[in-house]
Amino acid sequence: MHEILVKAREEHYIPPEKRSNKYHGGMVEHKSWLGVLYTVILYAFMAIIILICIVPMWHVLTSSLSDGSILLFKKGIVWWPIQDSGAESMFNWGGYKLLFRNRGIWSGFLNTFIYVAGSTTLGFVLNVIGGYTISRKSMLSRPLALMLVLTLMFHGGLIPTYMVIKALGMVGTRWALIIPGCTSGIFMVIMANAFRNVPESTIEAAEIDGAGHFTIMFQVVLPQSLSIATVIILNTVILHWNSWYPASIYVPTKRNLWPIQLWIKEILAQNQPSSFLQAANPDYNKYLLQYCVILIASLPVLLLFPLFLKYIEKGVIIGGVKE
Amino acid sequence: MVQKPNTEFQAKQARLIHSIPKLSFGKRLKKDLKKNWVVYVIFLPVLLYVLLFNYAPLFGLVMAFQDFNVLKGVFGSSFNNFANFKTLFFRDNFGIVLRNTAGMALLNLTVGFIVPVIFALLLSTIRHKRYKRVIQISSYIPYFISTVVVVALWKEFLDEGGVIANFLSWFGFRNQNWLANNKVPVFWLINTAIDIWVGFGYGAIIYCAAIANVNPNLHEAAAIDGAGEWKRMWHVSIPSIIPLVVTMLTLRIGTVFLQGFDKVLLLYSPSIYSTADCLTTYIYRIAFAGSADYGVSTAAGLFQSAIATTLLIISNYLNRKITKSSLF
Amino acid sequence: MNKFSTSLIILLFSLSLFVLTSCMDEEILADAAHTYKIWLANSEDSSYYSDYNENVALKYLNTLKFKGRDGKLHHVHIEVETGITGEQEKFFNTMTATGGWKEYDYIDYSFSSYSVTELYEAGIALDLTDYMEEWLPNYMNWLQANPDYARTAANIVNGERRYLTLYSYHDDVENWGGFVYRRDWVLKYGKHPEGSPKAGQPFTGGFDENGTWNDDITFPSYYTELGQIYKENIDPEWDGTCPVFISDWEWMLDIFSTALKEEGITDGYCTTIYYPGYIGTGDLISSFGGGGVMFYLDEEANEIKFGGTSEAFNTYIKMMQIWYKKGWLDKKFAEHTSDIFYQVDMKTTHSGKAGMWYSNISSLFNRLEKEIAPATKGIYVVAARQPINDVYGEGKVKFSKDNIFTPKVFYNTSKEFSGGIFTTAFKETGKDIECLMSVLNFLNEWETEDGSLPGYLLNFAGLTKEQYETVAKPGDMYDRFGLTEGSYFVKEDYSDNGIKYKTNPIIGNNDALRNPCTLNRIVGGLQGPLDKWKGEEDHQVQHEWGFYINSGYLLRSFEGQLGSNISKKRNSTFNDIEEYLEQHVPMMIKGDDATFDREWANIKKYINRLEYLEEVLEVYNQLLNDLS
Repeated sequence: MHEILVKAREEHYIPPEKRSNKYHGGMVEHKSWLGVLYTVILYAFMAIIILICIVPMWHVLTSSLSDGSILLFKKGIVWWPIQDSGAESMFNWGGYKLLFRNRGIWSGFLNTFIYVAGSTTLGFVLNVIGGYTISRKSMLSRPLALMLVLTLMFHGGLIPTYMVIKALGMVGTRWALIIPGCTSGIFMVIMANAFRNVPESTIEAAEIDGAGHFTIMFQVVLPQSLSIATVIILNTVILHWNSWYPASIYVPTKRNLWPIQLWIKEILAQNQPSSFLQAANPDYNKYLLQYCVILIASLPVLLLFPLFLKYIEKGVIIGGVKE
Repeated sequence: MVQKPNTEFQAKQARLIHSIPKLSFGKRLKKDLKKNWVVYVIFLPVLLYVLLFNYAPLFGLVMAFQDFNVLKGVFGSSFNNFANFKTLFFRDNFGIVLRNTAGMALLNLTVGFIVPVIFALLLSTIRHKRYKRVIQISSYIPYFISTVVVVALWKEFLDEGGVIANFLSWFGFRNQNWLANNKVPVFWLINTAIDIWVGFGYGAIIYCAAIANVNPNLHEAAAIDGAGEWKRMWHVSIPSIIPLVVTMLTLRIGTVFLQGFDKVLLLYSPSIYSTADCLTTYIYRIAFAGSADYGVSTAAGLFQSAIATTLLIISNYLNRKITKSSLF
Repeated sequence: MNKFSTSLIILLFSLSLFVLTSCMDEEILADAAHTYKIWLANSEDSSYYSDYNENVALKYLNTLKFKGRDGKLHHVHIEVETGITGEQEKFFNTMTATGGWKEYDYIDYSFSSYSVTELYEAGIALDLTDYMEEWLPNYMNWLQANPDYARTAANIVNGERRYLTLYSYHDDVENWGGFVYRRDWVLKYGKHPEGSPKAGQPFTGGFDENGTWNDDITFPSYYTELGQIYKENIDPEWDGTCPVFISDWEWMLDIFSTALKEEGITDGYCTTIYYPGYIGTGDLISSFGGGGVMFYLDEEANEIKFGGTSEAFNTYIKMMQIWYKKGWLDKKFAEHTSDIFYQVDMKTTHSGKAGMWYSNISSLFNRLEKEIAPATKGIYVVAARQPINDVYGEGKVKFSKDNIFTPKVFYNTSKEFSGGIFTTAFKETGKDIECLMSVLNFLNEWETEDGSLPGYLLNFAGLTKEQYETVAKPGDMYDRFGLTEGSYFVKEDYSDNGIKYKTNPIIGNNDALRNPCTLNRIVGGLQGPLDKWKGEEDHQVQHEWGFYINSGYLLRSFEGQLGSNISKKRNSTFNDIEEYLEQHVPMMIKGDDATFDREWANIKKYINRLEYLEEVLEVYNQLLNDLS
């Protein structure tokens, strides 16, 4: 079976960077003035989109470096960090300093990394298994799919879920943050959808070659759905990166197990203007925390994005296996 | 167009051709198990996971019918039958709440749903790689700004003299605080606009992936036939991703009533309750403001789940009828 | 990909090293029977220490000895777990529902949705009545000296008075918020009022070279008959330099509108109010002789009343409507829905564009002045006491010779703070619970006979230098904030204000440091006298804001005695009323007289239709009778 894949790859593989060029060199391509107009309008429209997306994040960045007491009454977008006259430098690092004075932030990052890695791996395996089973043409696939989809609809609530987790002995440990919630019915359904796109013939060829189900799952069907699989991984990663709620329930008193988002939530809740302004000489840097926190919390994921994009665009490795 | 395997149809055809009588349900089940038992065994971890973490806690749904007392627990609290539901529904403004929720959900499912798809498609027609990458990355950024900051920013823009209010005044609208306007679609449009702004880039990822996943031979064939970017998008990309789009729409119809209204809580104010009050905020005020009443909140959740499931089943059925494929 | 994963592994490794090395080993002096676990609702800001067990004062406490059940002195070791800010109620509910409470010996129950009585009946809270005399005498002594609080400190269980919880009492409580106004605008744009010897002339005064403020402002009511009645009966020390009546306020509002015009401020206003149009705790409303909008205690009648349909409330709204018409009230007050009542529209008030508002101490005096906000130039903001109505309405709502009253229901910091319960877990674990009670008793120690430092200082002031040195560790909180000389000193000569203990000036400048230095978060302790370096101006502020006693306030110890059933009804009534008023009161304020009357009728109709109002009132009054 391996030979089939290798051969197919050699014959039909078009590296992503080269694909569009091939089309350009194609035989007949009308370059109408309508096409040019469309391109110009599109590019201009996209420029506007870029602007409306980046400007708010820019605002957050500049606000995080501004003087807190001025920010309190400033209206409108902050185009450049605003300082009071008499400030020594252009940037006020007070907000960040305040944030990093919390030593929990570092252990938070580590913990989040552990939870994200653990959950995503476990969840991915479950997704593939679940998606594969549903995508098969068998009698139970539809009822199973229904069962999975129904999990999205009904929730027992805080206390029953806690009781189940407690009965499993996971309360107060890291497992409570890795296992429950590592996957969701949606992902399995989407994965199944992607698997169904794989032509029957490929799977049958693999079966004939003696491939077992696991081989088919991970070496045939999955590589063909790499884009969607990457999207699901991305979604899972971001979901767990942003999650604080399970930690607040299962490990509330064990601060050495907290993920970063829970630390951030607590820091923000402790530094509300409604409380810190009660002091005579309040530390206005606390007002900056809500902005600094966004950057700290989202920067790692934003930096990982290009990596994910590469995989998403790689798309289909094997091409052109005719039905 | 990618053919979806249509088991039943083919099987029917096969039987017609070969005159094989249809087996009984029990026999078919046995045959299926014999053939596929490995697959089902492999599925066991997933089954275990789902049963433990999704189905087991459902015993708590009885709380919806209880006068739930935390100290007595689920097994000790007394039943009050439908009193919790009565607390929720029989109030003057429940009808308005439903109307608002329906309006916002409708916008969410039409405009709010289609924008990421269109964006992904437009993106696929851009040839310049670098520019495309820049656009993509910028479009994800709003997703990462916390809801609180997003709402604070938008509140300013929509205020009298804010960016958006000024912009709209060029079109003849009076410069006003749009968040204080309680005429019917205003708040709904604002809510949808913010939803789109926050989620279009992120939501488009999956469609970009599907578009990239399309068999390049199809593109090649179309290019040879003389199609430019736009035509290719129209005739190759769109048909290829329609199954995914429909799947996502079906899922979205099912879940729209359950989520997506957190920012309303931050955006609305008493003066616009008549258009902005939706199920989530209404339930929040009843079940959570003050001290948490788990009985009422579970009842509310149950009600929402019931609606969502009904919608899901309906949309799945329509899905199957129209495109011959479905979620389940 | 490989480079990426290698660098990731290296990063992980270094991070884990960092995390592991920051774990410290503690020496525990106490045995198992004297090791206790306490759950507190609030922790300190994590920039001081991320784990409450790093609190230096706690470490010091763990070196002391306390009397145990057998009468001997034992070392104790107290381990503290704290709740997550914002998630405490969820935690409390989960903990009580699933039996997790058994891990703790003492719990801060301020986020419990259930009354202490119910916690007792569920078997969680320990009945302290029999332990009080022997193990918590200091606590009892304070209660005896303060009968107002003693009345509700016990719970009625099956008709009997039982002590189920320890409250924290702050003998020296400070108000952090109240009404303020821009005195510099009054100075600049006002004139001496009628009746004054210098009537018609502009005021003089301002900042002198040292930055101290002086002025000769007097308010018009001082020169009226009502003013003299006030001075005789209520405040003999009043010299007319601070506003007292609604007429004074309106005089000021008029000056403010001149000020706004002269200063060229177009996006400011004379005053603003919380978005529903009123402050539910009764600020400004009780100026009309009534109470708040909800339930309040009418001390004279010794009855609990509901203020939502009262004439006082109606007259108050009338006043607001007139202020709105005259342009004194912020036209957009109803839109500031995400602001809390003591920080309404900070964007305007903090840039100096408002004349009068409800604020906290951070806006006082000259603190708001900033070059980037030109309207704050020369700003001087001063505290004002609750005004009394001498303008609107008739009869009981208006101050007159035959109707002398003071505001009695408003937001004010009460002396009573959250409480803690001892759990019954010790019955299974065999711990010496009486020893823990001795610890709490020590934190309530007001004075000692032998002149040693009373226990309340550990709770409220922190550690002296000698005490600190016994537990000092480089890098701990005291060290990092420069408090190695101790967080407070014992004064040799305390004849200036009679207070023997003075805080370290570092804390004097930054009050936020005080709590992390002390055991203040452990509920159930006492706060006593402490000299906090307050200046003249601060005393003036406390004098104004604390001038009237908030006797109508229903103490938490009182409200907390309602069973959860009636509590639910009260909460839902509360929410329904609030929701309705939030929409209709602004309509009354912004509308004309016809709208005013119509909406008031609607409000009355709505409130009278509410199911549980009567029932809740009855229960309240029954409870009041039982406790008296």
